[in-house]
Amino acid sequence: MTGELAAYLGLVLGLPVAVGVAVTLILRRWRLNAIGALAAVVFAVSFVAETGMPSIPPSEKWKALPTLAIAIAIISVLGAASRRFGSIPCLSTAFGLAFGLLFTMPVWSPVDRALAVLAAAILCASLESLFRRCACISLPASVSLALLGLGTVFFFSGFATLVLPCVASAIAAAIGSLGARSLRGTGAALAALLLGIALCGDAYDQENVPRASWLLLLLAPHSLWLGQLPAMGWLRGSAATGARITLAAALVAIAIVLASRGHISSDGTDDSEDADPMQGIYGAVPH
Amino acid sequence: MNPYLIMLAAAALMRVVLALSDGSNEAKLATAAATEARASSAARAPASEPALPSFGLDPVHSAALFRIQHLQAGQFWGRINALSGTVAYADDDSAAPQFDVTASLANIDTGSDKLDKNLQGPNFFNALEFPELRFRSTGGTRAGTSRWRVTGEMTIHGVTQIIEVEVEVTGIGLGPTGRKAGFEATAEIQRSAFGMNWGIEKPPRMLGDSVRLIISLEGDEAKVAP
Repeated sequence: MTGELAAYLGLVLGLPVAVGVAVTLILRRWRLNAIGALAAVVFAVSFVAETGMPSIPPSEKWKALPTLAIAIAIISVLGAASRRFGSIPCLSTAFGLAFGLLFTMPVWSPVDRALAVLAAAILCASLESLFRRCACISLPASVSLALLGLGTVFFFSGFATLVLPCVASAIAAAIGSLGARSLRGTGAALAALLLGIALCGDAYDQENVPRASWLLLLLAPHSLWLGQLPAMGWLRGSAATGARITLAAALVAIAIVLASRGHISSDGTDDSEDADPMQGIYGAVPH
Repeated sequence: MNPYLIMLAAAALMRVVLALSDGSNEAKLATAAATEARASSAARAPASEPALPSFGLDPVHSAALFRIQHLQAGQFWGRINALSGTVAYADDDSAAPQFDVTASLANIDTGSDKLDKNLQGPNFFNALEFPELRFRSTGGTRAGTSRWRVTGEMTIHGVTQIIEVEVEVTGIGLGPTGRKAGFEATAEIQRSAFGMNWGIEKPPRMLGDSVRLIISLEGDEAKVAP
């Protein structure tokens, strides 16, 4: 069983990360630092390793996520490659992909969709803008934390299939973007990837994970604004980096705590049996 | 390059990919329905013969039990309550009973709310996109007195497969509202055949592939719409 588990983790975590690092190395030969492409490729590879090759068209709506991820990876590379284009076409495409996914998600009311479109536009524009201004370790760190948080919240939401692809993306984003001088051109794509994953998480949630959890995870990378705003000009250097990472980690931690509480009280009770997060499909530990 | 056009094109592309998936499911169901109609017309009695008496299912007394192995260890049972649909059956047991039974996944009941939600979730039934299971018989052969081997189309998770069900006619009775007919059906299916693969092969092999079904049906002649 241990060997089997190791092989499984190697397939769903190790292989995608290795592919992601290889992609990063290839891109760097052309002086491209596409963290969006890296996270998206690793997510797609891990997703396929976990669920098998999705059919085209996908048999279930959430299985369109690898398609979204691959499209995002391409946009991300184009965005990083083309200084001449500027960020607007990439931003528009990334937002458009998220927008399209959003409008096909089940059980979303028109008001939810309208708010989500607004949020998607703001998140894509904000992250793209940050990626153009900022080039420090806090950037990949906050993206990794957000992806790791998504994986954890998926565990609490009962959507186990997406746990490891998010974790693999988080690892790859942390490793692959080390030493990157500039990550411009890929922020919108990365925001669209995070948004697509979180949208699926909220739409298919069976465990009453509050929407605030998903939103906080989407906001975590935007903690990079700390130190970028005019009023925060005094915050510089390693202090700024530390503050940004701490803020991102705090947002992710709050999201996880909210998700775990929603999971515990999903039936309105908080008795010890229901408080066991391993109950359900995983089984229950005898008390 | 107009960013609005790019945005609209990207949105349209993503919507087309997803809309195709809906179309794909509808196409599968439409194909299944057409196959069923052909098979059904072939299996049923000629038009000149009278139609079999029809019974509407009593949801209180109709349920499906399912059994599946957990973590390669224990077999656990769950049930889906309140089945709906119709059964057609000749009192003299001269023809195979005909079933059109629907089960709503909202009525899944394993005794654990969390397990119910897990099973309704996207890892398994994906009740959000495929809220119902359906069995429609297409024919049957006699397997003994009041026993039939019924074939039909089972639709689970948006996938339709032909399965064989052992059916026992458990009795015909008289209730306050009219005649009642009882049936018990058993079948063994592989969930992977319906595209529900999660947790079969990959460790810790959460749930087995093979699912045993025991379906208990009670039809009420008064419940059938005219």
